[in-house]
Amino acid sequence: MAVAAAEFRGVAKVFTGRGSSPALEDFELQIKEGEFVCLLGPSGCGKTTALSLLAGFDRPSSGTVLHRGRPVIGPGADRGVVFQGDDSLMPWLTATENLLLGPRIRKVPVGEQRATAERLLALVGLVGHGNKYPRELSGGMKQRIQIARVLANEPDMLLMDEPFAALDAQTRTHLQDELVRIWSQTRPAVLFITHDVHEALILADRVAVMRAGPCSAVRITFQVDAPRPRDRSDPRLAADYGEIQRVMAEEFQRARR
Amino acid sequence: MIDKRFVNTVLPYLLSVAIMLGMWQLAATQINPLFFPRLETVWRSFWVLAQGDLASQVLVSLTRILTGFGIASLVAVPIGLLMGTIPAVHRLLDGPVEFFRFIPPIAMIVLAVAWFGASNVAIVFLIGFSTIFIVTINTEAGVLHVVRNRIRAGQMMGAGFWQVFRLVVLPSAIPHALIGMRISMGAAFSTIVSAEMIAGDNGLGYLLQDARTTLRTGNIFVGIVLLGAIGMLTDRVFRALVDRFGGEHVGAR
Amino acid sequence: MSARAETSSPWRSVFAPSWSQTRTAHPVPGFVWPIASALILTAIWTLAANRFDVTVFPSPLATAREAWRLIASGALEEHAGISIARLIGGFAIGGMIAVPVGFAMGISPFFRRMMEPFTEFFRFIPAIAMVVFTLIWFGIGEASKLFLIAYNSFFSIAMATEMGVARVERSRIHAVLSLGGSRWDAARLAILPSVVPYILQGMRIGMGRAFGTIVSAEILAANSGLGYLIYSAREFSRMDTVVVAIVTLGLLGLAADRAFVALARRLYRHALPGNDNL
Repeated sequence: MAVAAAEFRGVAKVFTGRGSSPALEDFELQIKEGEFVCLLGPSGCGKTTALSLLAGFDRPSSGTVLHRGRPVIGPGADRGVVFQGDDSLMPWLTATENLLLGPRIRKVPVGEQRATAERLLALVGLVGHGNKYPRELSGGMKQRIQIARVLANEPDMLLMDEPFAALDAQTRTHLQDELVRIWSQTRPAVLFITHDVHEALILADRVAVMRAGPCSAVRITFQVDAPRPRDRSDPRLAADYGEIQRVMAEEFQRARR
Repeated sequence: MIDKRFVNTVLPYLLSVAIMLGMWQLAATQINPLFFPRLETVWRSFWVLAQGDLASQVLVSLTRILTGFGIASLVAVPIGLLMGTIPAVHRLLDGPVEFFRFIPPIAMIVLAVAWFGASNVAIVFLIGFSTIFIVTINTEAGVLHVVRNRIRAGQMMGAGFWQVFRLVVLPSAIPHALIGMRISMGAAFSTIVSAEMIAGDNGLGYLLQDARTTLRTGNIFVGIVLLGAIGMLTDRVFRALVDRFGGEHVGAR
Repeated sequence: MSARAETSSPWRSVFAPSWSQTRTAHPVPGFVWPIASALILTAIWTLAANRFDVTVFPSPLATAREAWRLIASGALEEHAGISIARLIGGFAIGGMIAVPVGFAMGISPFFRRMMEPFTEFFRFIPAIAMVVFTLIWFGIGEASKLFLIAYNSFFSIAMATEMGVARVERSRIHAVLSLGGSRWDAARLAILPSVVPYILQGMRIGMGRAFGTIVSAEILAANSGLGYLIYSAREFSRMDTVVVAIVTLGLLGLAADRAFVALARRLYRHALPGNDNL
C-alpha cells in the first residue's frame, strides 16, 4: 500500500483558554498522492484548524498528523499554503517579488529565479503584471499570485483555506477552472477547504463533510467520479449536490443550536 | 467665467491669508506696535537678521535636534524590536518606558544642566530623552502588529526564524518606527525652543528669548515664522518617508 | 497593554510558543515584573547617586525624604494643583474653540481650505515659542499660561474633530433621516457619538505636549506650579526637589493618559478610532 500524502490519525485539538470543548476530536482523514480532497463544513467546525495542523502552524493535542508517512513538526515548503484573503502577501513587494519569496529564501540563483517567475506568471495568467504591487491587483489576481508563490517551491501538497471565498461569483468560477487546469499539470495532493458545495464538486476527487463543531470530525466522504474538466450543468453532479447539501444542511442546523 | 476649481481650492487660501495679514496690519497700526509688529518692521528685521547670524543660529538648533534625534533613534529601534520579540524584555522594560515617556523633556532641564553643564550636551540629551521612548514604543508596536498570515507565509515557504524576521517583521515594523520618529521630531522642536530659551546662549530659542528681552518684536515674528517653516518641512520629509515605506494603514502611538 | 499584547502578538507567540504553554505550568504573576524593573532601576539609581555629589545626583533615599516633606507641608499638592488647573483651564478654552472649528472644517471643504494655511503652518510652531508674544500681550499672569495651553491643544483637538466628522458613516446619518429624524437629530444621534472618540483621542495626544508647554511656561514666567518648583529648586541646588517634581509630572501624565483611555472605553464599548495602544 502506497504511503498517503497526508494522514490524520485520531487527531484531537484543544485550544487553551477557550472553554473546555476541543475543536477537533477523533479526526481521521487520508489524502492519497495526487488526490484532490475538499473539506466541507459549516462555520466553526474546525476545518481551518485541521489545515493548520497539517501545515505545521500548530500541533495536535493528541493523535498524529502525517505527511508522507512522517509526523508533521512544523511548516515547510513541501506543504504550500494558500491563505484566505490577501493579507498574507507582502504589500511592500511587487507581485514577482512576492512570487519569488520561496526561491529567495532558498537562495536560488537569480537567473533561475527569473525563469521561474516568468514561467509561473504565464501559468497563472498574470504575464505583464509582475511589477505591480498587491494594492494594484484585483482580488482574483492576488489569489493567483498566492498560487504561483506556493508553486515556486514545487511542493508535495497544496493546502488551500477557502482561497476564493472573498471573491465575486464570476471571478470565483473562473479561478476554479484555472485551478483545475494548473493542478492537472503536476497533480500534487490537495487539501482544499470550502463551505461551497458547488465548488467542492467542481474541484474534488473526494469530498469530506465535517460535523458541526465542537468536537468535530469527518462525518462522511463522497467520491466524485466525473471526469475533468467538469461541466457545472452535468446532471450527475446535481445528484451528488443534492446528497451532500442534505448532509450540510443537517450539520448547519446542529451548528446553530 | 471663473473656474470652479479656482473658487474651491485657491480662493479660500488666498482669502484667509489676506484676511490674516489684513487683520494683523490693522492691529499693528491701531494697537501698540509693540504687541503686533508692523509687516514692514518684520520684513526689515528679517533682512537684518539674515545678513547677520540667523543662518548659523538655525544651524545650531538643527544640529542639536538631529544629533539627539539620531542617537536616540539608533538606540530606540533595536530596543523596540527586542521588546516586540522577546516577552521577557518587554516585561522588564515596559514599565519604565511607559513611565518615563510621560515626563515632559523640558522638566529634565535642570537635571541635565546639573549633569552636563549649560552646554550642547545638556540640550542634546533632552532631545534624545524625548525621542527615545516614543520611537521605542512605536517600533515595538510595529513588531506586535505584524500580520499573522504574513509570518505564516514566510514559514510555509521554508524561512527560518531570522529569515522571517528580516523579510517580514522588519519591513512591517519600519513604517511604525518612522511614524514614531515623525512624532518625536515635533516634540523635539518644542523641547529645543524651551531649552534654548532657558539655558542656551545660541540657537533659535535663544534668539526668541533675546528678542523678547530687547523688545525687538520684529525679530520675534521672524523667529516664529522660521520655526513654523522648518517644522513643516521636516514633518513633510517624514511623512514622505512613511508613505514611501508603506505606512498608509498604520496608526500612531 | 502588556497582558493583552503578549497573548495576541503573532510574532511573539511564534518566537516563544513555550511561554504561552508554560503559562499554566509556572505562572509568574503579572505584577512581579513592574516591581522587578522598579527595583533594578532603584539599584542603578543608588549606585549612580553614590558616585556623584548630592547636588548633582540625589539618592533615592534623599528623594523619598524630600517627597515626604513636600507632601506633608502641602507644597507639592499646591504646585501640582496649580499646574493641573492651568492645564484643564487651557484645555477647556482650547477645546471650546477647537471643536466647533473642527466641525466646520469637517463639514465645509471651503472652510477647511480657508483654515488650512492657519492650521498647516501654525501647528508646527511650538506653543512655547508663542510665550514671547503672550507675555507681551497678557503679561505674567494666569491669562498667558491659559492662552499657551489653549493654543497648544487647539490644533490636535481641531484636527481630531475634523477627522471624526469626515469619517462619520454616511449610512448612519441616512438611517436617522429616513427614520423621520431632523438634521438636528442626525447631528445629535449619529454624528456626535461618532465624533466624541476622535475628540478624546485628540485630547489624549495633545496632553503630552501640553504638559511640556505648561512646565516651560512656568519655568520662564511664573511663581507657582511644578515648573516653577523645578526651576527655583536649582537656586539652592536641591536636586532632590527637582526629582520629586519630575516624578510627579510623570505620574500625572500617566494618570491623565489612563484616565482618557478609561473614559473612552467606558463611553464606547466598540473600537476606538485607529488604535488603543498608546
